[in-house]
Amino acid sequence: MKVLGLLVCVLGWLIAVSCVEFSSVGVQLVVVVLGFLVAGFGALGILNSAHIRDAIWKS
Amino acid sequence: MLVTINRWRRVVSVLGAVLWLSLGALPVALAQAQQPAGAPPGAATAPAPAAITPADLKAVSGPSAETLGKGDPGGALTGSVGDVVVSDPKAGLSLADLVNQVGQNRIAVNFVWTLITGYLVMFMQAGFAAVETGLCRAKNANHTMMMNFMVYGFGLFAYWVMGFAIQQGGSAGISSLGGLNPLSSEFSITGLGGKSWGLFGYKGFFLSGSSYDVGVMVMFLFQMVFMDTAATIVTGAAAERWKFAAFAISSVFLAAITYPLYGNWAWGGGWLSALGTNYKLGHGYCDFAGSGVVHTVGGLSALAVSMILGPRIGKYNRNGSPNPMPGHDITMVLIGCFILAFGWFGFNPGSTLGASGNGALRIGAIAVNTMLAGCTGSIAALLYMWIRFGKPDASMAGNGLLAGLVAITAPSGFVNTVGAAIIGFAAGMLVCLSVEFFERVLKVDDPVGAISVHGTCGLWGVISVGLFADGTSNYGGSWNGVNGSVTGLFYGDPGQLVAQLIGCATLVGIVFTLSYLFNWLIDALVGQRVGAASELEGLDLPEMGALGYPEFQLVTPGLGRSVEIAAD
Repeated sequence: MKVLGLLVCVLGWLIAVSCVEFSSVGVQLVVVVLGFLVAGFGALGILNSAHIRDAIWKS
Repeated sequence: MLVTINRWRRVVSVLGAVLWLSLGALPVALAQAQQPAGAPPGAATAPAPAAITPADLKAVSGPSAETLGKGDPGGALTGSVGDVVVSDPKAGLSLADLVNQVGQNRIAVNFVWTLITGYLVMFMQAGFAAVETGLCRAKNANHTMMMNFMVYGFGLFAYWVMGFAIQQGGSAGISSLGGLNPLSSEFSITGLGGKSWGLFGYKGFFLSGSSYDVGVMVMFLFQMVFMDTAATIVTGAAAERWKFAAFAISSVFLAAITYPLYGNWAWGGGWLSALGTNYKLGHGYCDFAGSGVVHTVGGLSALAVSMILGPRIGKYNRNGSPNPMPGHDITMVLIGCFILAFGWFGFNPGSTLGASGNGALRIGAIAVNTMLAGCTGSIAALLYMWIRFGKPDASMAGNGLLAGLVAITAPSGFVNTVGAAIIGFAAGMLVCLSVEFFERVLKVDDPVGAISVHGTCGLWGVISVGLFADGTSNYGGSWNGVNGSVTGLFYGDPGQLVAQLIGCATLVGIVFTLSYLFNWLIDALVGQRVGAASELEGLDLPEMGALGYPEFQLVTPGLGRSVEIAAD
């Protein structure tokens, strides 16, 4: 799960930088925000959830 | 319940009123702030100056040695034609001597400015040490203070060995410091659309060879103290449970690789700064003094380490609800905040890398933007805590000041005072919300709020360049190789916001990932976290061998445990 979280982080970055392939600035903004959110989800959603599962306060 | 609902109504109504007034005043204030001063009507055109001849130079004379020997209490005689360096004493003063002296004076002014502001930033280490130690419990005072003390040494060494070369190895062309021509090696690949993407430099290892240069030395010192700021941020979030040995290795990684890579992409001629020239996205990624490069890198590295370490024992109950763990010295915290605010006058204004030429006289405006954002940040955080919890919380007021300062770091050279005040105020609110979010929702333990102050508000600072840059700055007619002034969305350039958001995505997607992988490796090899017994006793004795306060009986509230030390 941790590896998946890191991969989603990198995927988010790839989505974000791919916005340069579009000519419309509106589309660029949508794509880059989407990429940023995907990267954030990878870190704070997937990766952090994996850590909470084994948290010290649960034992 | 009724009291809680009424209090929330008050919170919402006050915040709503403030927001309404800000948004209503924003268009008027922004429009007024960007009115440039026009030339007075009927101004006469000055006649063309006459050419200077060698005869003119020979006719200039300064005070004699006899006159100077009588003393110069008013300063009217000291500094004259006799002090201009002459290349050929037999030939006397020449036009070439005069012109060369002007050039050297400009570089000397810029050197002195950059060095002195760099010294101010170095002193911020003391501020961070005070803030972090004050926000931790007394039983960890020695350990926390030592992490902040030694991050200077570990970071500096790693940066000298390889970090500086990776970051700035290809950054030749900085005219304010003499050109830095030895730093002319940047490794690039062909990226999207067949454009060149600079990835890292490879000149300047150990500051040896051609990088043994006066200008390079100035640049190294200034960049190193910025790197150390990023490195010290991590120690706050990881305090009270981080092994000292793991901290040392992690700091070396950050100084040698993680920070310099992003620093190269943003400041060293790398691909982020070239988004403007390559893809017509504004002026490329713009980060004047490092909301992204320094603070977000530090904040996200802190997030990675905090996740790996896990929360402190006793921070969370079995149902996941958090327990407060107050620091032991709020006076130290607030003094530390003032030291940081003082040092920030070096951080932001110093990032012009000079005070002469290329728009560097904007240093006053940058300094005022900096102090304004800190001011509104602290006010916003204070208001939030006062309304929400009924008391003006000191630690969050301090964090609010820092949040405003972090947020203004990137846009400080590009915005006006109204924009600076808004950016700081928003950061003050944001840091309070972020601290609660990380603590209560994500259950990431951060003893000092470093992730929120530097990570969250650093990202806000990066984004705010893309919103509030007003297009009036002029640092030599271009920035990142794109002509004109940096301009954000509110002043007509949405492409700038796209570039900033790509920077944000890179911070989260690449820098955080890299930092997490490095620290995961350290955890596998040496272990990041101390044992439970050491943590409960306090890290001072187990990790450092000495107490921070050997003459005091230390009692930890809530855990009912005390460490009694007999005073000899």
